[in-house]
Amino acid sequence: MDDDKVSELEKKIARFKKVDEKFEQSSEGKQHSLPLRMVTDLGAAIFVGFMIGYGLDALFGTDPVFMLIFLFIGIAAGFLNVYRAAMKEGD
Amino acid sequence: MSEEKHTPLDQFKIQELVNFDLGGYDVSFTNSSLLMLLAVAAATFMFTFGMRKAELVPGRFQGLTELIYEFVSGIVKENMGQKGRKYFPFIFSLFTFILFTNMLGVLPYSFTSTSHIAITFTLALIVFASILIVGFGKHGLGFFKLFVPSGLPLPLVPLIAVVEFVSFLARPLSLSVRLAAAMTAGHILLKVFASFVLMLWGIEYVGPVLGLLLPMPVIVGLIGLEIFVAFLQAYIFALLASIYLHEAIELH
Repeated sequence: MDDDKVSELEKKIARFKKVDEKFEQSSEGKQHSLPLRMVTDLGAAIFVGFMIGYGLDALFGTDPVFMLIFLFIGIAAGFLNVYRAAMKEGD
Repeated sequence: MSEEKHTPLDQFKIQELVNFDLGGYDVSFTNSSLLMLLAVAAATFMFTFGMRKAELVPGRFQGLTELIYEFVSGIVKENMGQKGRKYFPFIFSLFTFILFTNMLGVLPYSFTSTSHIAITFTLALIVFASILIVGFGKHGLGFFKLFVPSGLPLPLVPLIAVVEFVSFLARPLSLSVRLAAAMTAGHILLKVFASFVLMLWGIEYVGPVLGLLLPMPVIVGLIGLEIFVAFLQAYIFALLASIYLHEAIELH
């Protein structure tokens, strides 16, 4: 009778372990958060680029030059962020 | 009540509960401070009393605390490896603080501290500062290699380094804006749908029925979504903090 109980318990443990593995494998949370993550990463990089350019312009009195340069660098950095986020999810 | 105007943004208003003044700066104890204090108290209460008995077969309370512990432990292990154990307390504190402030914010009549950039940006700056401290402490000036990916042709180095640098500076901003935006958007949506109930209520005869039938199920669903988002944003914050810390330790 004890053997019965033990084997039953083992079955139960095996079943719960399966559920555990399933739970760990699903990266559902990451998937759901990806869009908002991409948007903020893109926007933040562009904003930071713009602000660096703006600050440098204010410092040197070269009004649109650094702003434009760093705006484009910010856009590049933003795309880089989005690309990285997307590639990390791929594998 | 009909005299004053109510907007969905009223819920984010800071109210001073106890006034303090420190050398000309306003350091009043506000509803935001109260909710953060409550969050810390709730977390402390849960983790001390949940693990007080520490039975082999956990009860519900202990099970919940162990679940949170193992969840954060999983994040750290997955993203930082065995070396990351040192930083587990840091990630764990971040996660529980954000989780509890978010969750308390879902309760009616409470306040969501994490919907304010001031709070989230401070948290993000703590992460950023720890990245810098860990990075420079471990690698010295070699930390700057973070901005130069290996195998890069020499002419491209200055350009890519600047792009990487901007991307690096954008991290705290992105972290804080994401958390605040996610919390704010959901709560505004809730209030807007709640106001639909009142608007429909004004229709004669069918108003109350329509009001309860159409927006109410959506509100119930949205609250579920809010709880999910509250958890998800805490998870994302902890996840990204550990990813960034890992990068600072390993330098790609």
